[in-house]
Amino acid sequence: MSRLASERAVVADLVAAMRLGRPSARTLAETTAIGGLVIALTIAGSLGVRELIDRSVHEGFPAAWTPLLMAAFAPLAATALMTVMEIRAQRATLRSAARMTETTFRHLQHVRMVDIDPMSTGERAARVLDGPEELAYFIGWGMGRLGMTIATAIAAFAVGFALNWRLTLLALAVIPAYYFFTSRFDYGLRRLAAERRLASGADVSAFLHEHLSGIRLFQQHRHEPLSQGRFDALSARVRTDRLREFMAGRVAADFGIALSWGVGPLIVFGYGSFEFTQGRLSTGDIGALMSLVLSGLRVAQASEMRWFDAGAIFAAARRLKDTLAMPVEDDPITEALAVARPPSVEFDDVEFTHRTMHAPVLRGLSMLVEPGKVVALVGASGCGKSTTAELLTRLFQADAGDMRLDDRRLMELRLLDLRRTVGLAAQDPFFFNASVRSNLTFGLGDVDSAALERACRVAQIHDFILSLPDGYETGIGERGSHLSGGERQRLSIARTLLRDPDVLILGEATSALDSVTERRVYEAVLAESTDRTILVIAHRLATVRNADRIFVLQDGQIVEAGMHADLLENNGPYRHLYERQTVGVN
Amino acid sequence: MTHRQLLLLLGYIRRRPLIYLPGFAASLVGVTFLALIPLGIRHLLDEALPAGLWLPIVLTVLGIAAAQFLHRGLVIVNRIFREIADVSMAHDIRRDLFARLLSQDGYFFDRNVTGDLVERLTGDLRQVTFAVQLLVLKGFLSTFEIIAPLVAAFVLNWRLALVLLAFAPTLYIMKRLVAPTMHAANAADRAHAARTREYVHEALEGARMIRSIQAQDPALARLRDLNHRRLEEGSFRVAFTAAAARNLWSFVRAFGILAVFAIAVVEVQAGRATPGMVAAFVQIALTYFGGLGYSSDYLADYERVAAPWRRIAPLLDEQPRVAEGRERVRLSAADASVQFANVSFRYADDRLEPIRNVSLDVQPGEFVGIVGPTGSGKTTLADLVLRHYDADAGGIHIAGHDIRSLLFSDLRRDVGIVPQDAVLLNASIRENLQVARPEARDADLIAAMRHADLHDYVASLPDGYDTVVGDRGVRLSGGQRQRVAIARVFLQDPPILLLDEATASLDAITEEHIQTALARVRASRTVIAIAHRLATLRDADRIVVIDDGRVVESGAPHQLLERRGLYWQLHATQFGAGAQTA
Ligand SMILES: Nc1ncnc2c1ncn2[C@@H]1O[C@H](COP(=O)(O)OP(=O)(O)OP(=O)(O)O)[C@@H](O)[C@H]1O
Ligand SMILES: Nc1ncnc2c1ncn2[C@@H]1O[C@H](COP(=O)(O)OP(=O)(O)OP(=O)(O)O)[C@@H](O)[C@H]1O
Ligand SMILES: [Mg+2]
Ligand SMILES: [Mg+2]
Repeated sequence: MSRLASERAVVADLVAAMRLGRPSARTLAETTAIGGLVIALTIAGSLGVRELIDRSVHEGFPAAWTPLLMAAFAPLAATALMTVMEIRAQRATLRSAARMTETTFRHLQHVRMVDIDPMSTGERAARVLDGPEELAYFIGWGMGRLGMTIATAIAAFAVGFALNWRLTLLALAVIPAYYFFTSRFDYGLRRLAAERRLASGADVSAFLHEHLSGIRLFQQHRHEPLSQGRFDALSARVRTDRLREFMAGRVAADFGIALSWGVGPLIVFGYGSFEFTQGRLSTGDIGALMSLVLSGLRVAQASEMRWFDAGAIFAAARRLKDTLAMPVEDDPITEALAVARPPSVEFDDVEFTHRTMHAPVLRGLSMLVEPGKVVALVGASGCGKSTTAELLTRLFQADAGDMRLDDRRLMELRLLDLRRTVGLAAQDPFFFNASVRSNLTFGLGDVDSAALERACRVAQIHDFILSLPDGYETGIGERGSHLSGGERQRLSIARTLLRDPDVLILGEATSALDSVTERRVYEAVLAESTDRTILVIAHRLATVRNADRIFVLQDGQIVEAGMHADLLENNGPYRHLYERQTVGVN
Repeated sequence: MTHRQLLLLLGYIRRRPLIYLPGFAASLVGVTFLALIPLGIRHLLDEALPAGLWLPIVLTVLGIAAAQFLHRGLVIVNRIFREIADVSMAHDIRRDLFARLLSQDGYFFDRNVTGDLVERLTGDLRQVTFAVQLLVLKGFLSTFEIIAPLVAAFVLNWRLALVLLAFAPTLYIMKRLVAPTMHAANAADRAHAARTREYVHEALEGARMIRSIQAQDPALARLRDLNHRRLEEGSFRVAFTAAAARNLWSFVRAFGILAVFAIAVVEVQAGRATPGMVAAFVQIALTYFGGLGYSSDYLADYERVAAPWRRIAPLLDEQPRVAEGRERVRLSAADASVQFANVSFRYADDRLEPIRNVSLDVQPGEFVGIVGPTGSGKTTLADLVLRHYDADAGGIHIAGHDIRSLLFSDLRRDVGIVPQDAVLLNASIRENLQVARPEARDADLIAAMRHADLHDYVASLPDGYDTVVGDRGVRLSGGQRQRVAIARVFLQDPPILLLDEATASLDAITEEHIQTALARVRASRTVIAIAHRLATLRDADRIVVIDDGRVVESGAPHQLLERRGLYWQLHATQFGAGAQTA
């Protein structure tokens, strides 16, 4: 891409980012107005100074009071106004950052599962948390300082004619010179450096997240020295990348900036001396002009701060754009559609291949679950049982074939309706580091305690919860780590039941339960589910023995189906599996 | 900051003292130039110009411009060294923090949440090192920006200089006024930042769950709420207090300038000062009060350091409750016994005891099965053996050694575990295996994976062992993840093996393959296997039944069936009454 084209793309990114942060034209107008006032006050201060030096010191009090008060308090008023503006700009900045965080967060919550799965949690979090701040600074800058700079220019011209217009014009030439130098940065270079720094920052965050949440693995395998070594290297990379970013394309611009600070006095005092000898300027004029130039430079410097950051801003804008460009889950239907309760569930010649695999997982899976029945899906580890469940909730899209709920193709339903209809208690449930109650009711709004307790009773976890120090308000740790494996699984079942799904999928949801508890759970769930279609996925065949129908999945297809007793008679794969689990157990 | 926390911080500054030297030097020289400027102005206006001689005028003007240029240049040099000091200090602290975290125990990780810890090592740390450099180098600089104009002032007119000096103590008053509010705002801001990161981490880790219950909107609403609270209670107030302090300061400055000018008028009237001197004083006063103003920013900078440092420093001092022993051992299969003697344990003071007075002797080479209702304390027993926690009473011995006296590295080398929840890294399958044995070659990996019955599958993947398994291994099936964990323990090859529901996510046939491989290994090994699926334990020499943290039954499987206790009951539900005789 040509440099110009890439710059243009970057600007487009930035504009898009600005739009996200939503700075309003009104705020910009306001800051410009306040900026004008600030400049006027600054000028009043300088005029006061001139007056003092030229006249008042000779005339003495009380004539001196007016210029004196002007010199002292005009700048005070200016600072006060600037503070107001600064605070407004900061608030706007922080708000924009928060808004952008929310936007990326929301987007990631809707991105397709295939795209989000490969990204580690740390990286996802870095995308949400680590770019927006930089971008928002830019927006805050635009709002807070841009207006100010515009105002400076206007006011400076005005005052130029009041004092000595030739000198003023000359002196104020410093400010454009200043901008010229600061814009000499090679933004491409700075952006690259910033991108690298953002990437290594995300790596650190991902590394830390993985190590801290999986600390036992590393401790168990005495991996600490290696981990430390890797972290040190990563940390050193961050250090280098940050320094590189700081220095990238900087030296020349810095030199120029220092030069403009030198050039200001040179012009004022040099040309001023000439005008003085010509009798067109007083000592006071020179003093006043000098303070005008210095405050002009100070304003320019304040706005320059952000020019330095432009690289980082562009890099963050690009990252934001990349994140927001990730495709979201397909959800074309907008109309709510109800399915009959309990619905039938049908798979018709479904094919599916996971992205990292050559071979399809499902090759023409067909399966009909009649309404209100309890069916089981069994098969070897890795044969595609969980995948089947995930297809049913459209976490993935089937490559071919049809799936139907109550004669409606899944694609005819809104995701919202589909996932409310199909409840999945998963193999490896996820929990927030929060109380039992808030985990169970997450996303449901107000749930009355009776319903909550009922779901927990069915899942055989109510009594346990009551035994906790704060009952339903007890925190359960990160991912529920303060609970045993079986307790987590029962909570997950309760969470699903609480949502009262029409189709309940128990995907290895009781693998960590002892058989007595497991049986109690199933009995209670069944008693509760007279109008529900239930799909049980299990390896422990005792779990599924009583199902209305058992489907055996092998090589991506259903190879056998029937009731437990029939299947045993069949002498097929099911019987084979079953025997392995019972032989030798006295 | 407590005294100790301050010392810790100073320790990091002292660790690389030389980094600060160029910055200091640049400041000193730069400030000297700054002090020269007003003297130059006075000379120009009072002497050179009235005299009307060109050479002195040109020289003075050039001098003023050069001094200004050099001053700015040195400010920039100072800034560059500040950055170097900043990133170096961050690097030092980050490494130390990580080392500390690696050595923490189960108690610590029960109390601390990943997202919060990550925030301390990233957001909090960034703020600390950035603001520390402001305090140190910019602080140094502005001290000179106060002193240099004062010196110039004394050279010009001591009465005016005294007026300036009189304003210095206001700094202290300011600190008393604003500090507490600033402190509270900063602390709140950091706490909220951590909470937000924690939540974002969790909600993105749980993206699948959130999606499958269609709770994306509530998930977003919670983030909005957190953001809102952070802004209102933290960030906005931080911005506001800092700005307020600056404003208060300019109030002081206004009066300062007023006083300077008033005295100047009097001095000129009395013939003790010239107009040129007054112009110079304008310059001096602006610089001086500017310097003092910066010092008021100190306060803000100090609080910006203190609040996050209060979150970081305790981590640097954190001592794990589970203290590592010193003794070195190398177990052989012949002496690999495990003994629990009257062990009792609780995770936290407000929790019930999940382990109550457990005694259990596992002989070298024995295969002991542990069964019991969910939540009865089986996993906890394994945690205790590996010293993620320490028993509150009683002791655990391995080959006659109290485990508390052993080096962690020896203990964990000789006791391997397949945990109930396999941890997978978002890395290639090879890297996931090599965690267990970094020097393992492909042949070793393949052998282990064959035992775990997963090699064929991995070999069939387009990228084979280089396939990246996704966050927490989501791109593998549940049983495949578990088999990776089993392969790890085959690679580790320890004399004592803890299997915590190691085959619970496997079908019977795969399990059988793995059992066969394990049986071969088992011959020379001590195995403690926890399982709900009783078929898994059919070859066990002995089965121990745990209920509610106590050993309630123990014996060979057939003996336990005869007793018609808890084991019998579990067995009956799993195999039906008829299966007992099958
Ligand atoms: N997100 C994914 N990306 C790539 N491959 C995947 C993904 N999820 C699953 N697979 C692969 O698809 C196959 C089927 O996986 P699935 O989780 O459906 O198996 P399963 O029948 O549930 O097995 P288990 O009983 O072990 O849980 C496995 O080989 C697995 O490695
Ligand atoms: N980190 C923890 N903090 C507080 N309590 C905990 C913690 N870990 C486990 N517990 C509690 O200790 C008890 C025993 O848990 P443990 O994990 O040992 O059970 P388990 O026998 O392995 O059960 P399961 O068969 O369900 O895996 C449980 O009631 C659990 O809630
Ligand atoms: Mg599965
Ligand atoms: Mg357990």
